[in-house]
Amino acid sequence: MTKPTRIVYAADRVPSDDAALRAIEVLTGSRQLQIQSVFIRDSNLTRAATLSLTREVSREGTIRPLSPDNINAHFKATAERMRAYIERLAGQLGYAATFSEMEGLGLSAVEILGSAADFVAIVNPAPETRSAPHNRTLPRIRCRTTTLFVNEPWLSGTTVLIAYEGDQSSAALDVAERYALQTNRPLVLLTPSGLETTTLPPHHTVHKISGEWNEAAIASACRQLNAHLLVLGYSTSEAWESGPSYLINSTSCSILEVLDAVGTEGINSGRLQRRKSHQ
Amino acid sequence: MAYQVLGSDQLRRSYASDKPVAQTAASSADAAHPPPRNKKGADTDLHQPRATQALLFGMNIDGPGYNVYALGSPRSGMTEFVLSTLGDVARHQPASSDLCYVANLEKPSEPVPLILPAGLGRRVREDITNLLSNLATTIQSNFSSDEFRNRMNEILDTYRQRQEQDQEELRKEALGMNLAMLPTPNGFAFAPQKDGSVLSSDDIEKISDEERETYAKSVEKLSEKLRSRLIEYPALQQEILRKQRSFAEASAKNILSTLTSQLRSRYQAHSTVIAHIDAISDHLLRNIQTLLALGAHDNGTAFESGILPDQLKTYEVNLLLDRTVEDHAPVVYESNPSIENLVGKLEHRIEFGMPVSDYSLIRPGALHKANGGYLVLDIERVLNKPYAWEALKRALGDGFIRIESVNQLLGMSYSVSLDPGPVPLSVKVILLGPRWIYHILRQHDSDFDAQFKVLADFADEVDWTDANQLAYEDELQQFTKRANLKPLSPEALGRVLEHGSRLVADQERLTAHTEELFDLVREADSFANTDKSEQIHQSHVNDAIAARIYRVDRVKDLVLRHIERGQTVVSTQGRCVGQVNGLSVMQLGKLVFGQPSRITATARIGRGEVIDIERESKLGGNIHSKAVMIVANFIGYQYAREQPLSLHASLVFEQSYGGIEGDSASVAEVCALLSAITDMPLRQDIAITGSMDQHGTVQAIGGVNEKIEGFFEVCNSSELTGTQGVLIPASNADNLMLRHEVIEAVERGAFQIVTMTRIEDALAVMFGEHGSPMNINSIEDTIKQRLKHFYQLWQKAQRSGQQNNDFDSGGEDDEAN
Repeated sequence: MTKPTRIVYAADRVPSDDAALRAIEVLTGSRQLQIQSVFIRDSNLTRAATLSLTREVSREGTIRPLSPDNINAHFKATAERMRAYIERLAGQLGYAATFSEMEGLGLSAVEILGSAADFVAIVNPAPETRSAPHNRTLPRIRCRTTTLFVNEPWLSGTTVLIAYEGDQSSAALDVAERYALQTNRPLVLLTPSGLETTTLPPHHTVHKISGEWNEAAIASACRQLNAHLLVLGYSTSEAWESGPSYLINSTSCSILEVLDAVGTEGINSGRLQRRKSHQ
Repeated sequence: MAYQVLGSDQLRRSYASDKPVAQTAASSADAAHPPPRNKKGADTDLHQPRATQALLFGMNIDGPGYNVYALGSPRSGMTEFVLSTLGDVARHQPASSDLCYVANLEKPSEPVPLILPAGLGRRVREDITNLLSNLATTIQSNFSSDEFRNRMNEILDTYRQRQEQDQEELRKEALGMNLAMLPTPNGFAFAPQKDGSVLSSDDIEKISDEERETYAKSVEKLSEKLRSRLIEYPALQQEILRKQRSFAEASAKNILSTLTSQLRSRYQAHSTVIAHIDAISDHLLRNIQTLLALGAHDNGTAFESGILPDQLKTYEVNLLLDRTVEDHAPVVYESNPSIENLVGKLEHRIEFGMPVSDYSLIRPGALHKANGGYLVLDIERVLNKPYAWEALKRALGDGFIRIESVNQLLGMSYSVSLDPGPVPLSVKVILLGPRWIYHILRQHDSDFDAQFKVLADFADEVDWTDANQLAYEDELQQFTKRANLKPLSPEALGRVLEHGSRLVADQERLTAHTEELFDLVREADSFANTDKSEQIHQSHVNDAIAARIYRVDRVKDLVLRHIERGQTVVSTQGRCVGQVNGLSVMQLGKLVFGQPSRITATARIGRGEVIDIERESKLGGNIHSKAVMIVANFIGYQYAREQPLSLHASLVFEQSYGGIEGDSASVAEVCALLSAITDMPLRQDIAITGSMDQHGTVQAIGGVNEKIEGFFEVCNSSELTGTQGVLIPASNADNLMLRHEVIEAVERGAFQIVTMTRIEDALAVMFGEHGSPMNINSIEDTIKQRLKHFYQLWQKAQRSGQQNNDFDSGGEDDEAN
């Protein structure tokens, strides 16, 4: 019997649609998902609400004290809606699902849970409109497993991009190819300008990043190429100060960070890698 | 003498004697199903030349109100004939227009009709659907393209950048003041922090008052700063949206212009189509969010199924009438002419528990379908449907079809109302109906004459000429083919035609109610099937007629049985004073039968009064009363011209408990009265029927066949004596179509039919003895002497001064005697 794929599905708001779960199906290639959904109560916000000198400025421009009752009620209602949402969705898709709440500094709190999972999905729900991304500030998160950062609403973009740095990106390329194929989307390889052409896999569209190979350049390429999903090797973002969080905050696409040799040091090899070895 | 005993050959017109023209032709052709020998429109009366001419006149004349009322019996095949005639004419007239409805994008409650040449409606609908489909695909492709999105994002980025810049500035400024800028459900909050974590209450308690004061001031300052920026955002956002909309509109305008250019060229001669294309373009550009929503689809296969996105369905064309395959003017017969089936209807769908409608749910009515052609309706059905007649007249009067439901007319509509634009109406309406409705409408409906100016009067009967006989034979044989019945043998054909003659009781006429004969053939076919016969023979037709009679004549048998048992007194032998056998006809549903009625009279001295007891007892109708008055005046005029008629007489139909109407007993009543006056007995073996005028001329009556057969059956129920018979007006001789058993009795001398032209003929026969007539002069002398005697008695009574008391009241007189 096939072992279920354990998924941690974390959010601090109710996801807007089932796009993330659908993508996870494709990315894991599994029909047996065991979803552990987690609602994160922002500890900073909880604490701030207890302080009398804290002030909240509403989007309409009203200044008022931040009420702990309001914040707690908000967390409670949101958690309840997320639980109902996950249960309904899992029921429709035939997955096993559990739901829990935890407190932490934003979604980074999920790092602990994620280390024991096969796959982590961190949903960074959009604010009410895409033109107001003021609260889309995901901190640096390292889950030590393949992680999908979902930039909601996940409606934009057409292209699957992969930040390709040579052989070390082979696991990420493998996932990106399969996802592009199954969702009928074009795949484009983003490569550093210094990468030898001979090291590139054949039959792929390549977009060379001129200048420095960093998160800002890749974010720019994502916008330029109308990215739907950016796939990164764990080692690629390792060198960046903010990890993938910068990309999440500055692009409209979602980010998949695939466990590779760097990420597997000291931990179990990822499920995705195991599948590759069978091919 | 002018009375005449009729021979058996005069009692019925036999088909066999008149058939050579038809029979020869029929036998030379296909014996089973002879081909039609008469084309429709041939000048036979069966094809109703008068009505046909009127119908064609109504069809061909232009002008308001020249619609047709086709008057006739539904059993005459009038409906089929009218439809067939209209079809022949319409075949040479051009096809009518297609009809579409489209949304009125300015006034959604008033959908707009598009009237297009035949066949164009379908093309327009397809072209508009293709346009919308192409638009959906092109807009989706264009609006989701990198170029479009990048441009839209560029516009948006100015806003985002401003927001992010503000946010970053404030975040950094807050950080410099050891404050965290936290997103909250409603906006942002500023709170003291250290190393990325907000301080707890305990932490705040531990710091100095000055520090707390500093934090508070910093929070106030930043909050105010943020507020001043946030309140600028809505205006900025509006500006961004306006720019995005302008850019999208410009893009959409180009796309629309490209996509519609071919259609504009194709439909340049059809301004309504161009107007709809313009309306679509304008509406889409004014509601650019509709197109932007299409662009939000990122899947290029979204429209491959051919199903239009909901946003574009409102621009589709509702094709109500597609006349692509029609090559001539329409002829429509609406068998259920409710108001909705006439003027069209709005269907509904349920949304949130409420019925709603839109232009796509408009359905055509018969007026739409017949527009440009002919609409045939049964007036009785129209009048039976609430508001249908009013709606029909309104449409014809206005020259427009307006869709309105009964609910709307009654103010009972609970749905969102829709008022589709009216459709110009050009139609000839042919109403099929009976005579009485025609006259009622003429009398009571002031619009009727103005809107139905042409009357097509379909006769109920036609002359039995060779031409009509041929036409009828064709109709009957064609009917057997159409109805998949066995063919009629020539004898059977003749028997059916004879029945057609019997139905109208005229040897010279045939019924025009073809349906009656078709039914008879159908029933005869059933008997042929039972016999396993290849053809319908005469015997099958006879069986069918007999079975018809048997099914309904239970009451007639009852009447006959009462006579046989003496419960109803009718003498059919011997002679009797003041008593005669009159003949009456009863109609009970489909049963029509004759029966003898014993009429008795009394006479005595009096003041010249003839009392109609039926009238006195309020059982006599006006016509009967009139007839009795004629009888009284005839007697006075004929036999007491030079002296007062000094008698008091009375007449009654014995054992009659229902009403008596008609004048067909006039001659019988004269006989009874004169018998009572003269005390001369009348023959009881002869029944008599006939009306008369004041001068004694005998006039025709109705139901002569039934009356003769009625008396025959009573006589035949015991044994025919050989002297029995019926005296009928000579003018009724042509109406004789008697049953074969009566004719056979006449042939063997067991029964006789005698005609009379004057009252004297009746008197001679009725006062006769041993089968011989009495001399009329002798009879008249006796009458005159008797009346003279009455007068003398009357004078004598006057002289004795008793007359007032004795003769004013018959009752007293009777008692005195």
